Amino acid sequence: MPEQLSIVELILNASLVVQVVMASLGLASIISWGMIFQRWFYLRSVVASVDEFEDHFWSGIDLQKFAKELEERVELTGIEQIFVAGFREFRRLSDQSGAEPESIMHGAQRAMRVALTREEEQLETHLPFLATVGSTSPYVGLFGTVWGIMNSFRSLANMSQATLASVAPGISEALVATAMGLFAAIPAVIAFNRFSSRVDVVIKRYEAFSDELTTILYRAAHSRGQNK
Amino acid sequence: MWVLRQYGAPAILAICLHVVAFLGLQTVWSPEYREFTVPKAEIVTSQLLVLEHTKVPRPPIPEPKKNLAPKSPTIQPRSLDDSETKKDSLAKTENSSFPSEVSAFDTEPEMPELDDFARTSFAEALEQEISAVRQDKITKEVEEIAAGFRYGIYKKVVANWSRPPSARNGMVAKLLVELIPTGEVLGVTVLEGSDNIAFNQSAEAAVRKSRRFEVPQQPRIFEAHFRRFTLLFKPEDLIY
Repeated sequence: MPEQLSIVELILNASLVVQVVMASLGLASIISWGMIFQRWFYLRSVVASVDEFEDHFWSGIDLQKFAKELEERVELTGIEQIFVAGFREFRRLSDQSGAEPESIMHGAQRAMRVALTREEEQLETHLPFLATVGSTSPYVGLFGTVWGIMNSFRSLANMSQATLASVAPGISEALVATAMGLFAAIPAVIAFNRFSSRVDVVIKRYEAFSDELTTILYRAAHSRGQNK
Repeated sequence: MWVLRQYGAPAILAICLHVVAFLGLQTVWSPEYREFTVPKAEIVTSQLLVLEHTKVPRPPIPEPKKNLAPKSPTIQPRSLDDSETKKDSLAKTENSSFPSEVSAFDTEPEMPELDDFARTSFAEALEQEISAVRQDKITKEVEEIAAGFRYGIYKKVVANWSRPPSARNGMVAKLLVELIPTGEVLGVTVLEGSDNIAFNQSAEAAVRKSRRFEVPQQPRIFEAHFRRFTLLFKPEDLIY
């Protein structure tokens, strides 16, 4: 065959079902890459903010002042929000007269847990989508391929003389769908694994921080109780 | 606003990545163009050369006729009493005592006559030759058509042939194939086969499996070439 099969021709010559499959896979690939980039930037900024916050926190500044400073800010990063939520609750409860240190601590812990859950949710957004793309798009691509090959063999049945040249373009066309499925799936799977492990690391750090803050607050609550 | 800041750059990056990947694939993807040379049957005929040969002797003949142009009207009546004039002229030529002028004068009319005789016979011969050549040409044309169809039949048989494991190069099977005018196979028999029975049977089966061959529409050609014909099945030329 003198004509060259460029990839555009292959896509344009495919049957409608295969084209729909290819279009959906292309869309899935673009969206998943968008999410990969978004998560990448986001997690990097989160890790940087946690590092910065911890440096700041353990530098021995006054927590009251630090909390006030943070509360005035419009936007807070994840770890800052946990700190602010816990500290605010602690202060509010300890301001009330006659509050037990235990109940103050319970309130602060609960507030921190709520903030932590919200942060986890923030960290894990889009990861289910990546997992879905990673696990289903090979199958979708395979479906397109099977459909395309099926059609090309069916058209072969109508021919009197079966030559390789009459099936090869159809199969080549159909295989583009599988290639696209894999193209969408592989980065999505890699990104999902990498991001979920990073999210775990970040959550562990959040938890560790909230435990540390709890001990600090606990100490403060009990020293306040003894002072009374 | 928040959405744009959060997702704007990733979306642009993702789209750029796909565009780059697509363009890269487009430029890199150029499957090398390989040419497959499949031997085809070419029927070569040399009829034209034959025709030219027969035409070549013709030009020298009319030349003397030009010299005798004024006498050419007399040629026709004279050729009727051909024998008498011939005798006369013979008698005249026998008398060698005649003046050379006379003899020269007398022998002159004789010349075109002989020439005429030769010419007519030559024309007849030429005509015969031409008709023979024409016939030959027709038969050759028929042959050519038949050869084309025979090639098609052979190809179809080869396509339907399933090679038995014991088949080797150089095995030959001569098959007698009988067809009906629609091209359907009526019967096949092995006339001369190789020593390998499996091979002979596979050849026979290939013809049977073909069921129907393309045959010429003209009944004359079909009767002459395809009603019953022998097919020499030589699979060594399978290996292109």
